[in-house]
Amino acid sequence: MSPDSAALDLAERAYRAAEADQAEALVHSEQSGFARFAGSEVHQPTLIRDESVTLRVVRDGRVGCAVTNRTDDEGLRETAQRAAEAADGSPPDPYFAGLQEP
Amino acid sequence: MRALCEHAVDAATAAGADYADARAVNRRVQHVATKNGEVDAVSDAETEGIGVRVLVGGAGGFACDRRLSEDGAREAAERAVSFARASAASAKRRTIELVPLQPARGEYRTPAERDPIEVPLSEKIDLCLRAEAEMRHPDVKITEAGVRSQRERRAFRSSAGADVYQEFAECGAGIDALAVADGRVQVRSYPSAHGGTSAQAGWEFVESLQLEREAPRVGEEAAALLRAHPCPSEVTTIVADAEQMVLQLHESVGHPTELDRVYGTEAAYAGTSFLKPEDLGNLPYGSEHMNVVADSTTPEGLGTFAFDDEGVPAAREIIVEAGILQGFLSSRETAALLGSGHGGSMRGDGWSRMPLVRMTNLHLEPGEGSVEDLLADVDDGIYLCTNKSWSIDDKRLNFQFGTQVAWEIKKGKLGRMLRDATYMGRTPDFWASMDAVAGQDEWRLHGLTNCGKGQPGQHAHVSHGTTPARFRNVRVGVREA
Repeated sequence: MSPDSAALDLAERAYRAAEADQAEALVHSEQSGFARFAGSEVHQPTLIRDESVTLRVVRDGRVGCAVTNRTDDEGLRETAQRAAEAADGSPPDPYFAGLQEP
Repeated sequence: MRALCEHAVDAATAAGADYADARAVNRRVQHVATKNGEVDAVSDAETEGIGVRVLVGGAGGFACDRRLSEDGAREAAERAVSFARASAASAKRRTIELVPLQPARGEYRTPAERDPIEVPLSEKIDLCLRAEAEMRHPDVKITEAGVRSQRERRAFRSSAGADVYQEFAECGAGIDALAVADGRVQVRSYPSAHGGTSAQAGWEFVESLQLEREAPRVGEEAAALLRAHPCPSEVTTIVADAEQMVLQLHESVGHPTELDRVYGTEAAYAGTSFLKPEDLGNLPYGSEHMNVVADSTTPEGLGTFAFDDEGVPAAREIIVEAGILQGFLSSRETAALLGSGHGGSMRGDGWSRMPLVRMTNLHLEPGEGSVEDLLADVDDGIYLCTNKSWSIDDKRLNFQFGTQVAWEIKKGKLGRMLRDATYMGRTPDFWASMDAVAGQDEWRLHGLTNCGKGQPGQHAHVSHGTTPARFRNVRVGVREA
């Protein structure tokens, strides 16, 4: 599976885990390398591999958001629950116009 | 997590590392913020992964992977070794050496009655909204309240045999009132500015802050500042409250004593230091009243642990004693360079950042007396409270700070309120002008969560214990042309 396809697949899985009237899943994948120099020597060489999902949900006009990089089914399920809890704990937002249409 | 760290270390040594250590971290953070009676932000974020640090032929490498699995651990280890091997191929480089260390073994857990993460979001939102409501005043146009909660699990293994497991709980809160009238804007905060204060503690810490009780004063003072007299421009005596002393200590003592900055490795970003390695043991940093310690054993300190991220045990270290520089914040590598010390200040932000020399808990040791005693010996001066702004050069030598509020001191008593107060100085000259430090009863611990350093950037959570202190012949106010 290509990186693009994998990210879309993850977003789809996160979206389907959501318990909401509306939901939005944003996937951020990172593979980075950083070589920093000080005194003409390599310092803080850093290679990162990460992938995270931000799930935003709307429940009864209330908006909640949660983030995770645990992308297995259990991680996504817990994130969906947390996003739902965040929404349920917030008062309705009178200025929220809804999620962007496709 | 511990088994995965062992797997990573084994994979690194099998790939050719002379030394390897691995940190597996799971961190969950919640933020709740309200503004003008409405929920402004609710966030809940979890991140986990493993970071592997290696030495190959005296060159360093670091790689990390979000997968807490054998594959993730092994691949991170192998990539770290590859990077270090590439660095080792460079002819012109210093061989990294580490001071010897007995392998660390142990566990640590934050003492906490209520896990801050498990407190319901609805309870946190309600606390913020109630505190906000108490700040309302006709001149207060914006009220804000926020709480944060964090829970982190961290495992550490090294090729030298270290095996450490630690669990940390943190929480914090703060409120702000912004008053606007007649073209002026003033702000008051509690318990401190820039997001409040935090501690390594259970939710009982946030409850102890009594936000709702302090809120009316915060709103009233913000409004009163609109009509206060501006801070005069003069050279005078100042007394800085404990909260302002936090940033004074952090910026002009904490950062310049980070030994990696002294050796120039942060020149590209966070800056260097006016200190030199040979200053150790003989540089006059301040007056005889200046005693500063770094203590990673302080209860409720954000920089408290059993072992740092190199496996060095927590300890209390003297940084400045009777005004003389006696220690640096160091790592095993920088301590080896200096030929003194043993590290203990290496901390990485989560799993995806390699450890750097950071403050842990840095304290100005208390002196004697109350803040009233400090004021009593001031015929004409200014009492400065709660940081508002800061500006300091990249060597941490020349600085200017602004505070949210100040009061005149006249013949030992507080007089009228002043707005837009600032003071400036040069680090060793300023600390040399300190002639009194309040005593233990005035000592307070404050926690910061936004200390930035390194590339890729990372944040350290640090605490500072401070008391009010008095300084003579300080330039205050903005000079008029």
